[in-house]
Amino acid sequence: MGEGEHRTMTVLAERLIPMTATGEPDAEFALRVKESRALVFRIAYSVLNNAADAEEVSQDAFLQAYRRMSSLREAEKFRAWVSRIAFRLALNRSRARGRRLHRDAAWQGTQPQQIVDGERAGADREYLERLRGEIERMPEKLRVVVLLGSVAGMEAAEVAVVLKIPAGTVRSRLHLARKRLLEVMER
Amino acid sequence: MSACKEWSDRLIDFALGGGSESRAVEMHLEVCAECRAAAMELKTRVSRMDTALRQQGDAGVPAEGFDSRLAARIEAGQASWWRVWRGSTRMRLAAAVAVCAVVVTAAAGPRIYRAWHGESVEPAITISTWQSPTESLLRMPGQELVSNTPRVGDFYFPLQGKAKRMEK
Repeated sequence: MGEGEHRTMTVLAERLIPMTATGEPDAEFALRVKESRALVFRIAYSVLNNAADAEEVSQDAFLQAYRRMSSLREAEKFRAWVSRIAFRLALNRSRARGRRLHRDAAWQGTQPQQIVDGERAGADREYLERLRGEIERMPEKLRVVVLLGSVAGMEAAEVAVVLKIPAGTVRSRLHLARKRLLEVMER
Repeated sequence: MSACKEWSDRLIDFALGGGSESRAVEMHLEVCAECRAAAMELKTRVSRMDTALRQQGDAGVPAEGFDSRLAARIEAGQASWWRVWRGSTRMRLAAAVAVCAVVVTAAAGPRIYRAWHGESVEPAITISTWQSPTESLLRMPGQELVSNTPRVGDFYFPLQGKAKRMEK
């Protein structure tokens, strides 16, 4: 267990366990958060492209999961379950807000650190902006698959669980989406 | 670099790492230098695109203190009325009893009233005849005089003449 993971367990477990008589449900919740925190945040971030919004959505997702923990019959499905909640919340927020300017500003903040050459940095920034624009213009079915599969780096099986579609459909959509992106980025 | 026209679409699939004809494409690339070069170029472009997509995702890491903030929000939520309501069996039982009482009263209220007061008891006051105790206070002194005064447009003088003739 890494230091960060250990801290997650400690912070959540120490603060939550005293709230219940036995402590068991909250200890389990802390463990589940540790397992799925990075994924949940990545999902939210891939959709919203903004760290502050992604944190808020991730926390909302975990809060909802915490409140409905008793309705989850199979504890091992927590990761997929909370991922779905996070994805839905992120998508709702993304749809609800006109965030064009905000997103552009955030996009520039995510430039890779290793780029030092100004000319190359400019070209890369332009490329990234164009790429993001093309993703935004895609039909939602393809866009969400690209965001989860390519941006969030999830496996096809994980994306399938979040979107509730077969893994084969995820792969074919992802292939089609990347092909379209490649074609439009050539122009 | 231009590839053979009939292979261009399959080359894109090949460069993206999919496609059902990978083996056939590989065999073609062994004999066609132009398509080989085109495939190399496509793979470079795919790599650049995938790297750019991944970079965006890599930036999505929770900030320091995420867990503390989450724990604080959960703690705050514990104190809310909904948490109290959901967590307390007594609260739920009390609400259930209250709901039952309302339903029983609404359904069996008139029967209970008759059983208590006897069948002969008639409702003392009905809605149609009920008057407010303060209704008389709304009447002004001289209200009848005002209501008998001719209004604008009434035919007044002939009525006076007729009244004088009747007096004679």
